[in-house]
Amino acid sequence: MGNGNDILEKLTQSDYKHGFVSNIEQELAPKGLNEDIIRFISQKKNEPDWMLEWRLKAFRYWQTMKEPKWAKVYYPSIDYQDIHYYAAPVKKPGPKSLDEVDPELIKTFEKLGIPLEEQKRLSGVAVDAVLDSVSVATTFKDKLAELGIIFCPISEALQEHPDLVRQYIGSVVPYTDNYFAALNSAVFSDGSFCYIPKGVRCPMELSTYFRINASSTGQFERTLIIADEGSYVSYLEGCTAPIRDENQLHAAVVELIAHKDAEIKYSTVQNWYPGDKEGKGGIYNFVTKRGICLGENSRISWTQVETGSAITWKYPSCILKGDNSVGEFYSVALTNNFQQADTGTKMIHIGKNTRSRIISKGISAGRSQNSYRGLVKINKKAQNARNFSQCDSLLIGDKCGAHTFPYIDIENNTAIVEHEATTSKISDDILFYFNQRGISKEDAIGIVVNGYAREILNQLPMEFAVEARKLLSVSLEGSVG
Amino acid sequence: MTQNIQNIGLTEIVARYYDDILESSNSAYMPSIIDIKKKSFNMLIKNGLPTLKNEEWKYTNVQFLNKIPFTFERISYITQKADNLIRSIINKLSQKNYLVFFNGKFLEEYSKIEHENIEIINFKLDSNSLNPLIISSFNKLDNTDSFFSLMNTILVESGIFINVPKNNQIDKPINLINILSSEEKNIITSTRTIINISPNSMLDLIIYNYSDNKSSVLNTAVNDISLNEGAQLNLLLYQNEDKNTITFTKTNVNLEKESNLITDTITFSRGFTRNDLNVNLTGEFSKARFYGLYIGKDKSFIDNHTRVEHKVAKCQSDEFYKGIIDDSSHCVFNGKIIVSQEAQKTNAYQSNKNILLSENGIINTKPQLEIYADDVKCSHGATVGNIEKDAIFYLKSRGIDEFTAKNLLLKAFAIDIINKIHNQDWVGIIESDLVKLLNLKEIN
Repeated sequence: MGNGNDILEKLTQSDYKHGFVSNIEQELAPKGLNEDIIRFISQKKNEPDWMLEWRLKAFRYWQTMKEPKWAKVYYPSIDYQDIHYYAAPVKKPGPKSLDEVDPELIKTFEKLGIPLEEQKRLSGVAVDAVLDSVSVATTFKDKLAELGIIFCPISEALQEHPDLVRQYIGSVVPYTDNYFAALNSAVFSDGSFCYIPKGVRCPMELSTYFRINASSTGQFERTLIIADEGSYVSYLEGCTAPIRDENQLHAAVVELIAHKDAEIKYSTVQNWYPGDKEGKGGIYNFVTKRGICLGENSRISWTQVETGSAITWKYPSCILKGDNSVGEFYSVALTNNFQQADTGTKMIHIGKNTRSRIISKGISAGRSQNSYRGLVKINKKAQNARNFSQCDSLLIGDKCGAHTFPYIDIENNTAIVEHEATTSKISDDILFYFNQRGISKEDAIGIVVNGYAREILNQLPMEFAVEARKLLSVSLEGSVG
Repeated sequence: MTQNIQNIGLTEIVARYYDDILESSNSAYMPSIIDIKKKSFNMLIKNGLPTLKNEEWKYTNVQFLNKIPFTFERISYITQKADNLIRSIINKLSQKNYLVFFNGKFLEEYSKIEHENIEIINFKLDSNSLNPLIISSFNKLDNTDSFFSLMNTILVESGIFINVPKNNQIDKPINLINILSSEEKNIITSTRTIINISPNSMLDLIIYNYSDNKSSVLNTAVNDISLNEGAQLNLLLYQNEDKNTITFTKTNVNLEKESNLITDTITFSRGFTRNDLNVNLTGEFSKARFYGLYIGKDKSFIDNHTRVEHKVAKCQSDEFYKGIIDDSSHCVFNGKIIVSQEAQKTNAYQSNKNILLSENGIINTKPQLEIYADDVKCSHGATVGNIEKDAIFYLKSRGIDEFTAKNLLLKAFAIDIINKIHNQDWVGIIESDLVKLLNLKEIN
């Protein structure tokens, strides 16, 4: 890249498109974290006693833990007492339809292009929108209910289906799992809950849109998806946040449970505010995502497009417990300016004939650091397990870093495991080739980057693929036409 | 010192030695050496014996060392058995050019070197004049030093310094033969090898470790190698140690401008082996090629940690390690390539291939890249699998029985690395050891 510096300069000037603040009346819990706050959240949600007990246990356990330092990310220490653990749009008593929902709120989601309103039914996506800590609206609920599908905020599920929640919550990610999972278990305020009954193929994409709006709040949502025998669901998750100077914490937990012959496809387009070009502000995205293929022939597929957050720290994982189960992980992580990403997956093979596939594409630009960290573990009893991993990194500019930390632990001699990785920049030859044909450098980089990520983008459902493509270009604006 | 030490833990054993030797007022060491040993001791106490929580020791459990009552007794009288061992190895060499060590002690009467243009010194740390290169080599303490390399620095009393002067192509290879043998006592041995190759010189070096013990032997070895401008080193490290031997080696190589390192690490040991190879490319156009082969048999544990740091532009590194894991053995491979921001135009390759033969074998591999420069070509790959069934079927369909077919495939897998070794004497020795180790049939 002859004038790489110019391109990089332009690239750093690209703006975050979702950085508006909505002026919605907020109800905030006081800053700080203690047992009273947890009781407050639990009471606010009118939760059963066992839930409060569980939260308190998680909190007490969290107090004994230390913040993990092993990830290749650097940030000033977080003051956990300086965060609002609960922020909600002030509720007018019981909005029954969207007409009663605060118009500002509707506007917020309109700006985001989220089809909340009924007339947008045609787009065919059922949405559960979570603003700060509270789920504000869920669409298509009734239609889904006809099929027996439960899709609602987890706080509502706790009221209406407490047994289901109790059975599965914490079963994949126990509160003892890690520091941020424990914190989430103690203070999570909402999230989505989804249950697909036996043999049902969910007719539409389910979607959650998360947005942090209030300042100095943390968002701690918890998503729980259960696919019962022979069912199928495709789930989308999107995230945005306004521009603020301070760093905000997002520590979510996502648990997926796939029973026999079930399939869950979980797609994320993560576009939290990444901070400005000086590296100021932005979201700390410390997320625990894990799915378990409980039954035979089950399948879990994670697809993620990560372009936002100041710091990303997430490893969507699959526990392949059922025989013949399949785990997949497709990821594009793009970092720019001072962003740091440490992301990857874990594939834990326990059942026989289990298969996993990992395709990870990292793109680093500016002064960012992008790491892939993954684990492939084949347990002693996992006969005939198969894994293929590929993690490629693309470097744009000479001040960024790309790192790969693959852990491969094999205890069974029938396993076949392959891992390969490459790191390179877009070669001058390629750019020259484009130039020869009258295509500018910027356009050329755009084409190369999109081609590089195509394998992943093709995995995304239609609605998201379009958005993801746009996001990639916006995030690399200046270098991408 | 020689009193019976019972299960007091390795750190405490080292501490007692330290108190006895270094804190005593009549210590014979030079102040600079005492200083280095003190610094190492403080670092060792600070770090402690590594636990599984330490990322570099994640799969390597060394806590069992605390349960072995080691003594500092030096067993350096040659038994008939040791004498036979040494002679049988020497006989296999066509070029008689070797230095023999027994339990870490240099045996002048067995050694034979015919070169004129080379300086070989068996240095003693308690002498009052030491070559400044030796002192500066000891002074290189950094965060890649583990408990065991620090322990080596504290405990070592003598070593070998090889200095090749300018513009010398040493055509005859030099063999360093380390024999370990203890019949009753659990002993600790330490060896230190310092090599300096001056500009435009070349050296062929073989380090061979062989052991036959009835009791546990803990052996730490530190090799410090400097390649000056245009220098070349061919280094073979061949470890063939028995099940009672616990070995920790650390090899540091520093490459100046246009220098070239070719090294092979072959590990057939049946005990506990941990090798750390650190390569620093500090001069432009320097090249490092390091290959390795490890074969896990019985209950052996073999851990190869390599770390290449590209500090300047236009260097190359090429890493290729292969492993066969059989029985209840456990092998670990950790390859790290670091490309710093200045190191543009770097080419770095890394590959690790493993055959897991048995139900109880374990392999942990972690080929990692840390890249801070953009104009680079770096790739790495790792595979784990059993012998391909299709390949066996192919051979069977041509009238080769299954046993022979497996033999052929395993041997072909290993020969890939063995054939790259520069010294034909050792290619032959290693090949025949391989056949014995894997119970292969001789196939011609």
